[in-house]
Amino acid sequence: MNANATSALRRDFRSSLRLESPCEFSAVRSATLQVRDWLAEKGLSEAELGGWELALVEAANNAVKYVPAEKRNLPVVIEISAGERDVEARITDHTAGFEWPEEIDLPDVESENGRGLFLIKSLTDNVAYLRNSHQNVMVLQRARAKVEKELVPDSGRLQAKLAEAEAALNDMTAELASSYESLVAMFRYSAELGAHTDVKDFSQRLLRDLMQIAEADCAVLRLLSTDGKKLETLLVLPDHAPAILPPVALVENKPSVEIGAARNRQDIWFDPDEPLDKYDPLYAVMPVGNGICHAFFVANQLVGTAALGRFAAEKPFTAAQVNLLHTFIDFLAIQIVNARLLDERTATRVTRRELQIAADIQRSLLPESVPACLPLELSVACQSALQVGGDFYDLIPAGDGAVLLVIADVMGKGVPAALFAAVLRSTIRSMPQLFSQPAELLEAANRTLYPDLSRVDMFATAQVVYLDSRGAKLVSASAGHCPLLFWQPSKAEASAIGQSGFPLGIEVSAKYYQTATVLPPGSAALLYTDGLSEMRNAAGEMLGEKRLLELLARAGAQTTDTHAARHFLLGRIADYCGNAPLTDDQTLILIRNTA
Amino acid sequence: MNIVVDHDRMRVTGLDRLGASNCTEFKQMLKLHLNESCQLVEVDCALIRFIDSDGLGALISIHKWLAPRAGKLRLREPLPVVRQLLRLLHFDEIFEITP
Repeated sequence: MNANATSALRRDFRSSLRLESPCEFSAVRSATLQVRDWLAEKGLSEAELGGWELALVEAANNAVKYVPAEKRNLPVVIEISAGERDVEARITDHTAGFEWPEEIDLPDVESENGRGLFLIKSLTDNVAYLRNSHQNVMVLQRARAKVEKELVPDSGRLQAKLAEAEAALNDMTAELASSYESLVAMFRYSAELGAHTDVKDFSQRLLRDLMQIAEADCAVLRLLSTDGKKLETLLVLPDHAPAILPPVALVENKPSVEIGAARNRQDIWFDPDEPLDKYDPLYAVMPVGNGICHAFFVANQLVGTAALGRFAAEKPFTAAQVNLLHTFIDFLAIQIVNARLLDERTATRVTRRELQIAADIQRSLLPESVPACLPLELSVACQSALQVGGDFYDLIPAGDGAVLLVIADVMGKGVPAALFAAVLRSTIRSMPQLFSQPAELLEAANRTLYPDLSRVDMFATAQVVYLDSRGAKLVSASAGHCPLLFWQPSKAEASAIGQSGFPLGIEVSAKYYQTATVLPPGSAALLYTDGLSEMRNAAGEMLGEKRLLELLARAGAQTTDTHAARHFLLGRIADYCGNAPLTDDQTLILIRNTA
Repeated sequence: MNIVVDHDRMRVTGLDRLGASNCTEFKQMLKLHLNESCQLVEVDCALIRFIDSDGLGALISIHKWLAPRAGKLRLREPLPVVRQLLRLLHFDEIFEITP
């Protein structure tokens, strides 16, 4: 068939028919008779009808005769379209196909075979045989005979054609109107994308528009629950409370087209021939008629399901209406995911702000200045791994040149740890009469805090040091905290001193012991939290108490300046760790006898 | 389809079509009733409004069975549409077509 012939086919208004026939002689024969009747309705003459009937039979018989056994289950498809000027037929076969010969001659008159192609060619104006790997299509075209009917109009037939044209025009108008409505709705919804819209309100408006445009009577929208285990009802339209549709679990084996669509990622249709199961939850809303259930995904993750129903049994949804459902619901899915992301972002912002406030409060609880107790000098460093940490320290003037040093580490990090650190600080500050007796102070603080700490399974370690400048003496007690490290110039090595008891909050009647130590001139003592000694190098090795003792001795020998010694310590620790980010809070107090 | 055998004549009536879906049965039935003495097979075509290349092949097959026995195939009163087809394929040269 030449190109001009095929392109000419679409110039006039055409109607068409498509038939799928089982691959059997009797079945294709019935199909060709149906085509003949259809062409008769289009006004073809008897001679034309006979010609088309024979040409189609020859083409369809070939499709049956030469199909391989394994493809016998595939149908022979006959499509025919008729216009004012011509008729075109397409016969699809699943044979191995053949090359259409340039010349077709009749076989010997006594041959029993070989006349089919000759007949087809004789009965049509143009023939093309299009082959591909799966199927072949024979395209036949023939001009319609010019009859006198044009000079003597048949009013009945003209009216029928006019009605046919009007019906087609109405269909096109309806489709155009539907497309227009869809586009308008899309533009309206596009304006809301990215805005912080209420998902339920947005979904309700979108679903109502969809129902109207797709001519649906009811709709159900479900969303995947936050735990990802079930589909929860968001909307049931019209006028149904979502409560009538309880959630459905994805793992259940109960009848549910919604779960089926979600699991198989395929639309599921139901109609009077294949209605919903009576035990399907959707049956409560869509007991009769036609419907479709569509599961929707974003980034390959299930978001929910949408079902549309129409109560009229004879009106299934058209392909265009199903496309509309897909478009609207995909749009809705994006809006739902956007709204969730916006919610999460807002929640994160709120949390970050709250943490910032908590960090500010915690910083405000730390001493604003370091009390003087010469000849003893103090230098302090405190770094939190998070904005809000569990470490804290306190330097409380205790009168007569004495200072109480407190260093503590509440289990965990973040706001809960900081809250208890604040409580611990207040508790210790409320017992000034016990400052000079650190062991009793810890016992009293433990008794006070135990009920609260044990209720939430938290605990805190603490080191309390009473520093008396008059005798350059320090009295220390530890509640499960890192030991006090001590170095004096007369000795090459530093050492840990004191005895530790239970952390606070572990044992209500815990006993603590205190150690009194004199700091000779030039000597140094170090209080710290485990965030310092548990720093790791690139090989994963912890700094440890032994290295810390060495560093304290080197710092003491390096400089007599207290702050310079603290910088030296922190500098060497940073070198050891390769400037790795903090994984835990770090606090240290360096005490130096500057006499 | 009815087949009546009278001495050396066979008459086939009641066919309304002859095509791929019934030509095998047509051939088998005729050959079942044909005997060596048969000189003429008459197929009543007055009711046949459709015949395709396989149906024509079946007629050729009967013709070829008869020819060595000096027998002949006669097609009686084919409708114009069938007659036109027989003429197109030159079958009017080997079959007797009446009237």
